[in-house]
Amino acid sequence: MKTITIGRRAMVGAALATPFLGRGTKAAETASLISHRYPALEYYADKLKTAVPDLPVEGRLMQATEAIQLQRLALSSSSSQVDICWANSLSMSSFAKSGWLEPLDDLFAKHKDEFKLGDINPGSIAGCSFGGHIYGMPITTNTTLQAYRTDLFDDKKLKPATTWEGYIENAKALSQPPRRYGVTLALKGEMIPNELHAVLNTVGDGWFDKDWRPTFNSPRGIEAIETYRKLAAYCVPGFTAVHNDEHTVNMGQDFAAQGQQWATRCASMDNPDKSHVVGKIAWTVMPAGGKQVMISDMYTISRFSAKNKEKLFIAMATALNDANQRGAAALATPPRNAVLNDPELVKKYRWYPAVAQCLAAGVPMPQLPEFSEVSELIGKRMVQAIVGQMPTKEALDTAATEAVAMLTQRGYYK
Amino acid sequence: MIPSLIVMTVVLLYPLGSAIYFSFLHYYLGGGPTVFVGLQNYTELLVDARFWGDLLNTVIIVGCSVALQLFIGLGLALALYALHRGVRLISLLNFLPNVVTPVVGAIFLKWLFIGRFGLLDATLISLDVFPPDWLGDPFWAKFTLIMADTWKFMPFLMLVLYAGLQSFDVQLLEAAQIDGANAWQRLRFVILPMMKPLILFVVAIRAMDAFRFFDLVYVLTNGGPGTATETVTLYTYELGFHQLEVGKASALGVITLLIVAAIVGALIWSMSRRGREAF
Repeated sequence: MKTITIGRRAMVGAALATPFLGRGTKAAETASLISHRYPALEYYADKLKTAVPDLPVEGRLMQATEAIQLQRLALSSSSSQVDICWANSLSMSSFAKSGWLEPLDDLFAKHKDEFKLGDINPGSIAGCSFGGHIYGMPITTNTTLQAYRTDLFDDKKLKPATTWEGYIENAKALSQPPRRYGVTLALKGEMIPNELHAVLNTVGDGWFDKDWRPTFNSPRGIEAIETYRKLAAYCVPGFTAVHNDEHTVNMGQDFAAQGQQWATRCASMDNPDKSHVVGKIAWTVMPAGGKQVMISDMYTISRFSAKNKEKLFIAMATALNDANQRGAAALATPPRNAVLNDPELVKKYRWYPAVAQCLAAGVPMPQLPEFSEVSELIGKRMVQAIVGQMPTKEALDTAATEAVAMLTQRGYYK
Repeated sequence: MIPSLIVMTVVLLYPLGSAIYFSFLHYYLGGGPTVFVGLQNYTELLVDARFWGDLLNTVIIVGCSVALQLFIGLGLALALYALHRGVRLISLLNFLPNVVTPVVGAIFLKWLFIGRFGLLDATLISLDVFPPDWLGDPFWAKFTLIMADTWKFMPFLMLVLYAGLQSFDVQLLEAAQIDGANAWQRLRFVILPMMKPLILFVVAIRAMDAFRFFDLVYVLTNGGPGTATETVTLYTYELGFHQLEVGKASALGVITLLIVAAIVGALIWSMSRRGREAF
């Protein structure tokens, strides 16, 4: 007699399949996408839907944390219910290390001419690669810029800061609580490493050394976190509970004079439907030469997908073709050189020169597949120091001990 | 009997058994072998300062919010009991926050409490009042969560206590009134002693529920600033879904279950003891 076993894999697969049930026979022919959600990703998810006529793509868009969790659950259980995964450099390296993603090198080579893939910025391709293989089709390479209010700076005869001391001084000079604050910060969840990357790389000694030993708790690292502790005194309240959306609102609604802003959010500042400060914001590199976060967003293909992987690749390449990237040029920095360097677009989107400058100054997050896990531990301790819950040195040393313990368990330091 | 046993096995015993089984394993979702480690997950958690800090946070938030809910809920139930008109409408309106899905309620509260442009801050600033940092200051973040939990769940206590008052023997109250007892004495010596079992019952139910406090804290503060509002369930979630330590997260789930069982057991014991005293 045949025995039917319902294992964890089947349970997870069934749970993930639930949203696709009740759609008749169409569900069997539809590829599924799990993606983070911001305007550019909404645009590309829409393009993916009809990119290949006989392979419609059904998207489920949500916040990055939730998207990565759902992907992880599906991929770790070898579920075939997810075909295309949005990923960033961090989640891609973690998934690729676990063997959950399809290497795309051969498909890139095969379709290079058809989709003009040689036009994609090599830096963006590097951000989609792990262990010598390409795993993702780049959507955008995102970075942060120093956004500042030109009208307020001109009134006080201030210049955008080139040092962290200057950044704090500007925040202090422009802070008029509770009407307006000198700076806006976002230190909730995975925003913590993004926000602190620049100061740790310029004032501190970065996150880890080449052997993945912590360097964030060095004397210079302590100074870096102290810099943010001072800055927090002039920040819009609630900064430990806010994400990118609220951060953008703070800049666009005239509640903050300066802040570290993602390139994908610049367009909102000049949108009169969303902003009270249209034309009053300018952008430049973060203080002390930048070295701010730079992260690639991409589409990847699940190794466990039961769909034709070449068709999935063609759908991704079509959705991210030259014409579509021009359509999304206001929403995200395009990885195709022909679009990024188009003089008309540069003229139209006034933040493009600053974005190009910042991309040159940016530094990717540590290429540690476990970085998102370990940075959760470190980030919480850093925030404890910034809000004064724990002395900075004690907080960073505790974080270092916890990080070493975790990485030891993961097989490092042998 | 058999169908209910099957349902119980599928929805209760299988997940519980799985959690207990996983708690004895080193089970990392990111890959690598899954190995039996005995009580290692438990011992690591019991020497983890973050676990004890989170347990303290949970006790503070649960203790304060359940006490506040009981105080306000009982007050409102008594006020409703004294009313002769509009009871249904008022109780229905009061119950609305409890009907709202927790995450939706939490998002609504976030836009109320968020710094500078939240409804509360914007209103206070327009009145020239300098508001505190509701979600970003360790003290105020705890306070906000207690208020949020009270707003969401107090109506449940109010309604149960009001239902208890409805079944109350009015002759006892009338007798106390004839004996010259004032309103406070009637409450202190007649109503509260009669309602004690019901009060203990709702407190047990709410404490059990509040100990698993997750939705509100996840949306409002995500445990921050730092770990100031991180609860045991949020830490379980962090272990399971961020650090991918399924074995350790399961062990923490089992520890939480034991703590909640101990609290509820103590309350039931207290109830039965008082029940015996009453006779």
